[in-house]
Amino acid sequence: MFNYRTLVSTITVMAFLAVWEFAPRAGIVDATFTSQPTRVVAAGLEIIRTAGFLHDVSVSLSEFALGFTLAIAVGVPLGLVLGRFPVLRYVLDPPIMAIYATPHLALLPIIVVWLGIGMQSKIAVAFVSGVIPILVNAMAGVRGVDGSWIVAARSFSAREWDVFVKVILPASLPSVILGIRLGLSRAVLGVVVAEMYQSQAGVGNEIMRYGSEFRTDYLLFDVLLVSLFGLTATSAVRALEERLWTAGE
Amino acid sequence: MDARTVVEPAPHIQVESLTVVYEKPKAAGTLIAVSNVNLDIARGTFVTIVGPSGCGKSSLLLSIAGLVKPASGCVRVNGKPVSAPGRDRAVVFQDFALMPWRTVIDNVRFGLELQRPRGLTGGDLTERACRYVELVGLKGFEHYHPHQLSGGMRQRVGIARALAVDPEILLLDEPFGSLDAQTRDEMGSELLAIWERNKKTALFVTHGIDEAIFLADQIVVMARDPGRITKIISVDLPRPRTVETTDSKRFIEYRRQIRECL
Repeated sequence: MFNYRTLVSTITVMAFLAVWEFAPRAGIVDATFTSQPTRVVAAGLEIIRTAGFLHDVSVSLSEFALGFTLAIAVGVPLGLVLGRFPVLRYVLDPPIMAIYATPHLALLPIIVVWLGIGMQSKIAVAFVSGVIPILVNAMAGVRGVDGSWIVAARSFSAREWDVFVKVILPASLPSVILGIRLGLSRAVLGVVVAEMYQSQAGVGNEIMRYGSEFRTDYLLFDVLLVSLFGLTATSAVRALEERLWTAGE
Repeated sequence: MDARTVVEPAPHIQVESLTVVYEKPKAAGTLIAVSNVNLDIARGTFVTIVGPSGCGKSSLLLSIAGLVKPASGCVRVNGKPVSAPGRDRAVVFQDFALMPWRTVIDNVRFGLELQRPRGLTGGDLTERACRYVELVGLKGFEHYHPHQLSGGMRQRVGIARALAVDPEILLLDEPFGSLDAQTRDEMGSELLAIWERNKKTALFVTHGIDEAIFLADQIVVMARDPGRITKIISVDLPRPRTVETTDSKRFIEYRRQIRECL
């Protein structure tokens, strides 16, 4: 089963871990700054057993889940509608493009001013971060729908709603899922950074605390946890996407 | 029912001084695609419309379909003015217009789903779609996706989709235009074989002269600038038609007549 590509990738990863482990041991770098794979694992085992860990994870996860669900619930329908009705697009395009161009994390201070340092502000950041790529891609998906499919539907007396359900929706689904995948990683980033900026709990809050205490092992374990979560979720969406593409094209 | 209709049945399709105008992009004025066209089509006849690109033949067909709004004049089907697509008409498109995410059977089911004939369940629709898949010779390909089929097979799906809703009138807009010559001939013969079973009124747009003669009871020849009818030829060739038909003296004579008008 091992093909050339996986073999090379595996060797690269192993080599990196080996250098990371042995460079501090050989005295080339200071482990206080770089940590080591074994120390990260040890720190992880310790963190998992602490009382606050589950709380922090569940806070971060709920913030992400709520904000991202909200982003999908708003971004997908709004994007589809904007794609379908040019007049609405002309009205809303400037503000959407303005938000698109704004580095959304730069809005953090004002979001905290509005919503405080609790979960609400993190949910809002996850939403703002995630909603734009979702909306923009859903809109692009609708605009890319082949006009001949719509004409074919009309030739069978389809009403606007039928056209939407039977043509627009399935035709733009791959694009919608793509937007969800792009929005997902931005929402994860948004939650963690927002927690690092101002918060009372969450994985980002932990990362910030470990950083100020120079506990690199602990800090890196949390970072690893976040990237593992992002990777898994993104891969799941990508798998869904690929299934749709193979069915559709 | 008044006595007149019994004595002289009204044409199935009546086109009355139809004019179709398109706006040119970037406000460059308007384009008269069809200019003051009159045409009567009798029930159960196979009519082909032949002419060069831009002669308005597709616009004429799409107006009858109710997909293009005329600038003036009107189209009547069974005496009633057409304002939109209806259950009595179905269209076969040049680019097939199949949904790539639907399988063959689901593409054939598409029109049925939209029209939902009274009293039919989802299962009935699938069963009916299945019959039409078989009719066009695609049995065994029900669960293929369009991209897995050849051009000819895709258009069979397009034809099955149109027939499945059991329309009175079949409107075919250069259906074999993107197929290679040999496939086009095969498809023409098969289309005739299917048509001869129930003799629906058929209107077939093409720019192929031989195709126009081979299929037709009546050929409408059109010219461009502006799009208008220059000649209507009644084709007196025996049915069923075969490859030999195209070699007959009369066939060659029709070909010459059409060439003269183009």
